[in-house]
Amino acid sequence: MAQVYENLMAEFEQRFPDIAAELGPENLTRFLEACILVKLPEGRQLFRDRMQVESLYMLLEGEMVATVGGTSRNRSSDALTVGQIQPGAWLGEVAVLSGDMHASATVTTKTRCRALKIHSQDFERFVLYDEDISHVLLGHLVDILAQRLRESHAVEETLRRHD
Amino acid sequence: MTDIKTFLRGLPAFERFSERQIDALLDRLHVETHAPGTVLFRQDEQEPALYIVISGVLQMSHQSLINGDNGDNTREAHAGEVIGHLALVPNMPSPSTCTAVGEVTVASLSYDDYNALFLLAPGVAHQFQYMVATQLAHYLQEQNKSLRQHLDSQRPTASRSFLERLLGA
Repeated sequence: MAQVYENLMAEFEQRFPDIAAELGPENLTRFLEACILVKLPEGRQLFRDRMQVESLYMLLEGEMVATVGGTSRNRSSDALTVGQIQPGAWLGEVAVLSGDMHASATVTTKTRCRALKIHSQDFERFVLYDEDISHVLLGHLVDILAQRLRESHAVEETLRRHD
Repeated sequence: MTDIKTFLRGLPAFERFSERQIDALLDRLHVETHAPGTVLFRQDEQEPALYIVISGVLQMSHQSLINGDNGDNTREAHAGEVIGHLALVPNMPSPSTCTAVGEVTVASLSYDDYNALFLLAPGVAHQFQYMVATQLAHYLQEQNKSLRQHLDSQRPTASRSFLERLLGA
């Protein structure tokens, strides 16, 4: 069991090197103790567009795709791909941090995946009451969200010019 | 400043902080009064500071670039609200224009003063960092809704293929 945990820490350090380095071994251990390792087969929907989100995920291995739109009868063929998700990515953080708690896209595994899952309540406990971990997580999440918002603005601006 | 200290301590976001932490925040805040009609920041421009509204009403108006009048919205910010969070994120345009409806008094926190708080009162700085993260997430949700609304309005026209190329399909 200890060997499995050490391997998980090593894998986290590889996929999320900045967060691991800034947290340090003690805080990283506390954070990982709140996470569950999940294994997902190819073609599994992790989130469904506009459905409730209860947990955040950190992708360790495999690829996922984010789509929006599509009718309920023919969702897969009518959906629009808005992102390819690689190891090192966070998932579900927008829904949780916004308080909306609903997915803004459908996320489906393209390959077999392994991810760390943390329940939104555990995540909020770290963010609100554990300054050592909060500072590191929020610092990275602010950077990630800011970059996504800049990219989204760029898409909007391109659409405006196209119209 | 004593009145503002009492005011801050009455806000849920700051009620858990110690006297020393609130004093450190007060040292970094700048109290400003603005005349009716003053524009504190404009949509698509960097916000100059985060503002805690102490008194008065501000109008926050957002004009959609892609959904016409359907995507526009306006709301008011009142005493006790925090606005202008994106001032604490470099190179981040504002999603709205903020105008004083009547005379308003605000306490402003600049990006530099926010960074100084991480040394002087880390807990308070973390509170602002959390506010920024939640506000960014909220704006992203709104932005995604706007893009989805635009996408739906375009289906099944020829523009969809353009959108698919643009968004990486």
